[in-house]
Amino acid sequence: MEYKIDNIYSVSQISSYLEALFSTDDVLQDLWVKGEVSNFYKANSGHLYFTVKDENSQLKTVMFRSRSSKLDFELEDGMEIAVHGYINVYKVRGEYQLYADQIVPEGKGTLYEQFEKLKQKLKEEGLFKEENKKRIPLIPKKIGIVTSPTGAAIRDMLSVVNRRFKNVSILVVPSLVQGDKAAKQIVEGINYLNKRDDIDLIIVSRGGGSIEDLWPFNEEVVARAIYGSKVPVISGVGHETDFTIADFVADLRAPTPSAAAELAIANREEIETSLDNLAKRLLHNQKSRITNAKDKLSSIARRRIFQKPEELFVDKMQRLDELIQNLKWNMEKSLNKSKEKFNILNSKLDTLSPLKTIKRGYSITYDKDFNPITDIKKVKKGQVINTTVINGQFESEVKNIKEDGGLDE
Amino acid sequence: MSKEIKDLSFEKAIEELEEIVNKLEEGGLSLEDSLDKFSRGIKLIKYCNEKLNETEEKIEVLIKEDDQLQRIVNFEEEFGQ
Repeated sequence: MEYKIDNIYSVSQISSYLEALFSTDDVLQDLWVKGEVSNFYKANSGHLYFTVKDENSQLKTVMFRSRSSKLDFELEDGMEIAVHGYINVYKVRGEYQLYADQIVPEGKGTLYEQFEKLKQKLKEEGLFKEENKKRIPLIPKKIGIVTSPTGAAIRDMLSVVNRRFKNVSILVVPSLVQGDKAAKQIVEGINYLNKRDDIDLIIVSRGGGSIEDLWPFNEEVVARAIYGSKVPVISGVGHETDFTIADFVADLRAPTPSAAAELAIANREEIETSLDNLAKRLLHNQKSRITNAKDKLSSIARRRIFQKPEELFVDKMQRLDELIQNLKWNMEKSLNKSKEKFNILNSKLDTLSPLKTIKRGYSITYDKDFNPITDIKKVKKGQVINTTVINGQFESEVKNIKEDGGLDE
Repeated sequence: MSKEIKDLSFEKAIEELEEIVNKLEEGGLSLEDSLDKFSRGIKLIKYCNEKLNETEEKIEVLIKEDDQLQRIVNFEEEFGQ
């Protein structure tokens, strides 16, 4: 056989060429692959080697120790998984393989998916609702902190406490804050602090780390323990940019452990200032209130009526004099009127009196009953009658009666 | 209002104190009422200050052994550097 060999490549050249091709392919550089684990092998170095397969195909996979040490479960043959990473050529063997950086047991989804799913679920249940959040006490008597006693978080928090405020009591409840046992311990810590009767504020905290490191604070049991806590809970997990489920469900989210400590005790400083202000306002108000009252009192005391109280009566005395005067005048007036009336009557009486008439020679004649006789028809012959003149009386007997010769004819 | 001061929580005491100061500042109270409120206010301030200062200063840590909560010790003695 004859070969044309103008264009011949070495194996390495082909491998390198393929490597370059793989490296520039967007799909191959960032992908998720799902399948069943087989031929799993963990080397002494800590690297993991296995094959991901389905019914028809196999994909060689390697996960180096830097990544595999963060797995929170044990990989084993037969496990259904989803693997994230990139695919490239392993030139030594001339094989392509998947370089894995993340593995999720299938069914659970990626961490991000789990996070979103749990967040949605708890939100719908109302665990994040503002109205369910408890008030952080203004002056916590004793703060329970669930965290690692050797981590950066507790150091940060204690240094805040020491720097800013001394007068606070703290009980640290040690807990793992990463790995698959952490969630259980955090829950135990929260529950333990709730059983005590001297804790009025809880902080759950850990320092910064990868999403895997912070994962315990995204676990449902932790969220439920925080929600169920009778004691208000502040979360201080990771850095400002890290949001965990614990943050959403906590009564107050602090962006960092230091901030959590600040939030727990900042209230105290504010309260002391505002108490001072209230005291000042109270005293000032009362002072001016009393000064005002005094001023008012002395201005009232200065008024005329208290200076010359007799003025109260002068008017009335004058009026009384007037009335007495009036009374006198009225009485005199009515007395005079009566006198005058009396005089008139007197003179009338004088005019009507028969005495003067009788003096002039007239007389009055009476019957025996002393009724004056004014009618000739009442006189009978032989009747004894009485006659009165000015200076005496005499009795006579009627001898003759003449009906004519009267005075009114 | 007339609740015994010692039965009040710190938060309630502060709240009442604020109310009193606001009422006094609004004016319109009789001198007698305002004196009553003033003396209540003074008592509340005293009570709040006592509350602020009664906390004892202690940093402790719980020690677990074999997953059992065992004892409480001073934090600095156990973990201090």
